[in-house]
Amino acid sequence: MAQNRVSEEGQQHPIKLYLIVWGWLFVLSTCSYLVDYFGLQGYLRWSLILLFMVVKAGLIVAVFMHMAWERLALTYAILVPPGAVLVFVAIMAFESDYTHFTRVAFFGTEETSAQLATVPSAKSGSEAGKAATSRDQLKKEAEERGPDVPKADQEFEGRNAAVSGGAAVTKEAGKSVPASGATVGVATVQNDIAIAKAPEWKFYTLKPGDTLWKIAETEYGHDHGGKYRLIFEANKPLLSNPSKVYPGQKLRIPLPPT
Amino acid sequence: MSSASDYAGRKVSDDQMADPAAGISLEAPAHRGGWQGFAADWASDQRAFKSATWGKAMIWIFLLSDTFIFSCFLLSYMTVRMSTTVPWPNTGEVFALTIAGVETPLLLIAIMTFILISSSGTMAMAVNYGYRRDRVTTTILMLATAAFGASFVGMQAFEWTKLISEGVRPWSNPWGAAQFGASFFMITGFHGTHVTIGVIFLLIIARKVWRGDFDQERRGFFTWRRGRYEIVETMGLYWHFVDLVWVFIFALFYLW
Repeated sequence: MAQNRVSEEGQQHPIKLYLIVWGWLFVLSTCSYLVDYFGLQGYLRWSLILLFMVVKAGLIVAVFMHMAWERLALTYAILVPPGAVLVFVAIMAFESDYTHFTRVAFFGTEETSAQLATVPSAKSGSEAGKAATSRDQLKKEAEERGPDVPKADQEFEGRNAAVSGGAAVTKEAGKSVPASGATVGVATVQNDIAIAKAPEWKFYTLKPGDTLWKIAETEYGHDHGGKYRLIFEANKPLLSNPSKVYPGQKLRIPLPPT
Repeated sequence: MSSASDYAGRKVSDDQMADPAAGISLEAPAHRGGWQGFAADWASDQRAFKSATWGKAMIWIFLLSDTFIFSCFLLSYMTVRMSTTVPWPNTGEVFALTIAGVETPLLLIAIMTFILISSSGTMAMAVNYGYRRDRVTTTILMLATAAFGASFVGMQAFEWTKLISEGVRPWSNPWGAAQFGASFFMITGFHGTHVTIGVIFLLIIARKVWRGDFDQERRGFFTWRRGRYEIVETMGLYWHFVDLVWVFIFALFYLW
């Protein structure tokens, strides 16, 4: 009696069904791995990855977790609430887009090199390196000039944000235009430096355990590990990948402003 | 009726005493007002999930809440990845494994994925054999599931060790956006914890199956509820959920 009751409650399906689903999960996982292995990119990559993910999840929930045989009351109670997560995804995608925009607009200079480096072209990368270096040298000159330092500094920041592709000319930069005598000369100074002044390097031999990030932090300050790209760009023919460095390699380290 | 007549017989009478449905059906259907009515309405014996027992409904609700937790992790990962201006590390290279001088991208992760899927397969069959009251096969399949799960956790420990030795920290890493480390350790760590807990419970339930607890309807140590083969399915639901979460982590964190 008790035995009958228990077996009736339980899910009884032929083992063959589980084996078939198991096989399909293997096939689908292999497919999604191959998407990465063959280096598919763009919309094809994302749609295939999402498709395989959804089908796999569906098979697991429907067959392995027996959702296909439950009554709708349970199915809806469990499967509908996660739909709200998709709304959350949309909200956060919108929000992070905006955050990204403001970061590029207001802190563009901080990440100039890294940002431009996302474009996988050596040319734009090295240009970014030059822009950042010249900015630092401009700052140095501004400090020598005296009382206008903070405002002038902001002006340079704003100008460089524009150089880096961010659409921002900050309020402060706009205000400082009449106040700063140096403003007029900025563009020329910048060009002069970028062309005339040879970049300054120092050499550093890699020790075991060194990473470009670590070196960038010791050379440019604790929060500036992101500038590892400058080092990478400066050693481009030698290094092909920022994560592939070996002890004993001698690298050119662009000097930070003093 | 169960085989152990004396012990089982006493238990059956216990159950009837404890069964609230027997008393309620005799009461008049008058609806009280105020706080008493509020309490009575919420305390009344209603069963929405006709096909699922109390245990199954509760594990599903637990899994639903766990879904939200993992969703929040993956969402915050999406948010930091979309909003950072620093390039995200190339996961294919970060998680590459060099075997015999050949570097294969994501190899370890692929092996871990197949292992977890295999463990889901053995678990599904364990549930099936449990309802057939095949004690030995159920135990063997559950132990196989636990072994797959343990090797998964082992590989994850290896992966963590490798990344930590390469300089990945929750606040920085050598390859790009600093948020990579935080997302990685948080998401895979929380998932690995789930797998570990699952392995522990698989071993506990496998021991109970082996000992015949569910054939004798032996009472649980903490709950004092009768042991039933349904617990194998409950265990299975948790385990498949862990596999399900990995499907999303694999696609969204490793492949994206």
